[in-house]
Amino acid sequence: MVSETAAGDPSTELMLRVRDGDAAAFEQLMGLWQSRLVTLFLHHTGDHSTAEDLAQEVFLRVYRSRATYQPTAKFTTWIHTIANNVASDLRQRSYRRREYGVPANVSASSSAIGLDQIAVDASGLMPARLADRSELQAVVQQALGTLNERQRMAVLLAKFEQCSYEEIAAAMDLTVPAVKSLLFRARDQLREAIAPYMQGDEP
Amino acid sequence: MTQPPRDASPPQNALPAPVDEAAATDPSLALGEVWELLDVLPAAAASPDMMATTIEMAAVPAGEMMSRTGSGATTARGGRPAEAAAWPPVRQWLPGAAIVLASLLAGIAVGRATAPTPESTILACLPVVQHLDLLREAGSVGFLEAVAKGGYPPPRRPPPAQSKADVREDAEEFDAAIAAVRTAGDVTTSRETLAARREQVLQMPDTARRQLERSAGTFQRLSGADRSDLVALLRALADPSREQLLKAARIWHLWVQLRDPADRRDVIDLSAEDRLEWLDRWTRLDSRQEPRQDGRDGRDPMRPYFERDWDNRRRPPPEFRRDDHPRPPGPPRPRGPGPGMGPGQGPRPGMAPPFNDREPPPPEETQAPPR
Repeated sequence: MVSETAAGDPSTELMLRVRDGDAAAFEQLMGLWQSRLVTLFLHHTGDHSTAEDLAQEVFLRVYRSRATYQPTAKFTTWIHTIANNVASDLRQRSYRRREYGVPANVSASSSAIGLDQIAVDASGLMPARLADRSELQAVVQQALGTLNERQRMAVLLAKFEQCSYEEIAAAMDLTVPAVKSLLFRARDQLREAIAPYMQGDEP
Repeated sequence: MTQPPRDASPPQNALPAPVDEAAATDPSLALGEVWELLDVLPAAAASPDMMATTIEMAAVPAGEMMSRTGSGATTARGGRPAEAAAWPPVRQWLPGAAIVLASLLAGIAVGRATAPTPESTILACLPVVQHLDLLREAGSVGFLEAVAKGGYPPPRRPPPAQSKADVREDAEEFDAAIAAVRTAGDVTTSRETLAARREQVLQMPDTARRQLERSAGTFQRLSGADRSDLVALLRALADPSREQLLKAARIWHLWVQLRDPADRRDVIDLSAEDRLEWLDRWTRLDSRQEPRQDGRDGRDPMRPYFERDWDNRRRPPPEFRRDDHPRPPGPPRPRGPGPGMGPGQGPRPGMAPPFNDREPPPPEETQAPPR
């Protein structure tokens, strides 16, 4: 039985068809979601091939779980939960064996080191020389890398998936206040990381 | 569906940071000006073959797919647990497991039924074990063939400290052992033969059985190659068409008997090459000590000593020469007959008899050959 929140959601309806053995529905579902997931994982890991691998893993888990799928909530929340789990697994695996070419995402606890590294890596990106958008992308991407895993996932879900606090909390198995705290801390840390490059633009 | 995944961590902060009212409902407001900066991050596109690859992987059975992806993590709530996906249902693997288990048990049973036990090995090789001393002394077929081909003669002298009767008794024992080897039968694993041999062993006297047990222990300590050599030797000695091996074994036995009993084991344990070298040395030495009869007197020079008349034993001892013996300690005795040694007078009390009255030294031929 489809709940009210799930009713009318095209992804949920496609997933119900996948559950019933409709292979074409799975292709449509992937068509809806693969670019979104690749984007999410790209900014989470900083590597496109890794992002595709993780997105593929999400779809495989979705497919394996199709038989027991129950649309008690929006499909969006469910797939975000799976994406968060896949990202967590990546973190655990890369901690055990550093296979992935994931750029060093410096944790918040070592932000000082991370900022120093950013300054060294982007010494050619001083404010006066932030001429184009690509340079700004690099600065923001590196600043995003200074966040810890949870902060980064919360920011990406909020920004690129337009998730509410409640949806982020459901996907990350956190409380809403904890999500708010994550985002505020992430904002402060991003400000701190980007400030040296933005001060030159101020009059 | 909305239940959180199992591997999610607990909330990070119990005390959230203070937030303003505007940001309390919208994440975009919570991020402030950073929100705008994040707009520069590009949207990514999936590669063209990603969908095809994913669908292909999804078509693979669940267990194999788990191994290919290398992920043992859980799915979100609503999906089947990863452990359940990694293991196929019981109905799939139970028949295969039952077949493997049954095959294993059958293999163990067949192995136990067919693998030779130490007892069956001993019974199968009972002719070898019973005549182990004779066979080990003979060595191997190759060694006996080399002895036969070399034309080694038997020793000229009998073993030291053996009477003629002892020598003949030893020869009779050797012949009896050879005869027993020829009638002992072959190495076999026939069930009937093993049963008969088991009965034979059970009916042995205690002393014979203990001797057999010692021989069995020695046989089991031999290497596989040595055991094979002994089995081949048993068959060769039992073969009537290979009489030359029997003759070579007899000649070798006579040479071994020349050694002290305590030293015979050292000779027997020599390798075939060392045995031949030892035999060469002793036959050369033996031929130097006494000219061999050339048969012109009607005697066969190759005839064993115990078949000869021991004529060399009756050879008179070498003539005594006084100068060959050291003078007894004491002051020099005056030459010429002394007062107590005159004609018709015996030696004085306490005085050693004259050398001429002593017993002659033992005949040379009774001495053991030099080692």
